[in-house]
Amino acid sequence: MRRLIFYVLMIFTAFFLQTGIFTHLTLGGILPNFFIICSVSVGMIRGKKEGCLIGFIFGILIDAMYAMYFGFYALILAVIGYMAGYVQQIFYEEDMTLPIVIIGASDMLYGILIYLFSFLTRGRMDFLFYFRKIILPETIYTVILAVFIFRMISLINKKIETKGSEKHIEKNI
Amino acid sequence: MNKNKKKQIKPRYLLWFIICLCLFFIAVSLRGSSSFNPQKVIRSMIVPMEKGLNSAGQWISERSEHNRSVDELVTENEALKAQIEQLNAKISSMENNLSELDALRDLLKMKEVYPDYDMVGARIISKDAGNWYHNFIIDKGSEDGIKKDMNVIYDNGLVGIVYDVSPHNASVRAIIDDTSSVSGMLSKSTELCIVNGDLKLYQDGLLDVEMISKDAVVTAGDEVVTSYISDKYLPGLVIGYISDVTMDNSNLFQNAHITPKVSFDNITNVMIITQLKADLVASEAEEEE
Repeated sequence: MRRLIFYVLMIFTAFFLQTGIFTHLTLGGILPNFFIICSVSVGMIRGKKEGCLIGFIFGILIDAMYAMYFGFYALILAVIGYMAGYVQQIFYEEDMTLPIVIIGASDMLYGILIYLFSFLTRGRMDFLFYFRKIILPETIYTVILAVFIFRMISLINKKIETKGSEKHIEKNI
Repeated sequence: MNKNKKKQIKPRYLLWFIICLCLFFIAVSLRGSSSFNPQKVIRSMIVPMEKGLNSAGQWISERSEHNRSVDELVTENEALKAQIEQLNAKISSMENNLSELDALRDLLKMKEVYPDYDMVGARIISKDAGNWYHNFIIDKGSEDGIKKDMNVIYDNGLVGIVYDVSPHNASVRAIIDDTSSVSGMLSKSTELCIVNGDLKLYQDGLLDVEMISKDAVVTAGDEVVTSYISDKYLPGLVIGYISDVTMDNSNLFQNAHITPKVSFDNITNVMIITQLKADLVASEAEEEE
């Protein structure tokens, strides 16, 4: 229950940061990607299923507001959240490098997928340009923010887990 | 109970389920029913919240404006005053011209070609969530009289077109969006052309113009407006100014780049013209009969 409330809050905060406040805080006209940070973080900490679901919900929100084809972003984010779940097995919460690298790589993959499906299909061939001017800057900005946000999510997760287990013990007693 | 049930689903099946669901959604929206329900429902939930939060974001960016020094503001004020003088002089000479024009029109019994359109103001409440597209959402919808294909302007320049309408909000595709394409013309020579948004060119603040006839004389600084043959855009709205011209590889057309009139980075309010081009054409046809 506690976890559910946390997820709902996380999703809404991330969504409004992304579409409202951070559109005024761009770096060189580039927005960071909170959707990737959150769904990949949850995927890494909690596993495939939750990563996939959170990605899907984020995607549906973007689709409802902006997408040309309803379902497009939901599909990409759900798959990326699911893939982040593979990391759960080799993941220590103390180590920050691995999650940051995974978040960076996921954001890059996200950018490349969007390019492939919605730009290349319309005959925009110059991949290197889009990579240098959009995908790479977005990844860098996202990684910088990910350092803070990932730590926050994993701290809250730890709190929920310890609270939950205490309750569990009490119940058993 | 519920939790235990959830745990029994294997992640793999969940992924497949979600993939199938998404593919189904994409298929439905590809078939072009714009009144797809889940989308409308989610949107009507998010938009009111977003309205409030966006004003917080605007407050932040306005804060940085407040910090500008007095000196800067004084010099800017002087420059603006000088500009007002100039514009006033221009207006009075224009008014002279206008009365002359009216008189001549009366003589020719011509009806006004570009009447004053009715407009509604709206606030931008949310911009696109990524770096790939330039769509935005405004706080007026079908209940405020907004319809699909209405033109959106700002500062006398074309901003974009309404492509999707909900009861209390609407989506606008900007002319700088990579998928946007507008039928335009050079206002001097009335040569037709097509103005395309291009994400790559927009990094330099430019739009792409193609299909200008090879005989047309085009020079940098020429004004490009929406053409009279477009079926969605009203004629005569300023799109931008030519910055450079090149010959097409096929030697049949000229290509050009234009700088849009509107600076898209800091618009927060727009005007929507409530006159639809389709209605305009229909009413003109009726009158001729």
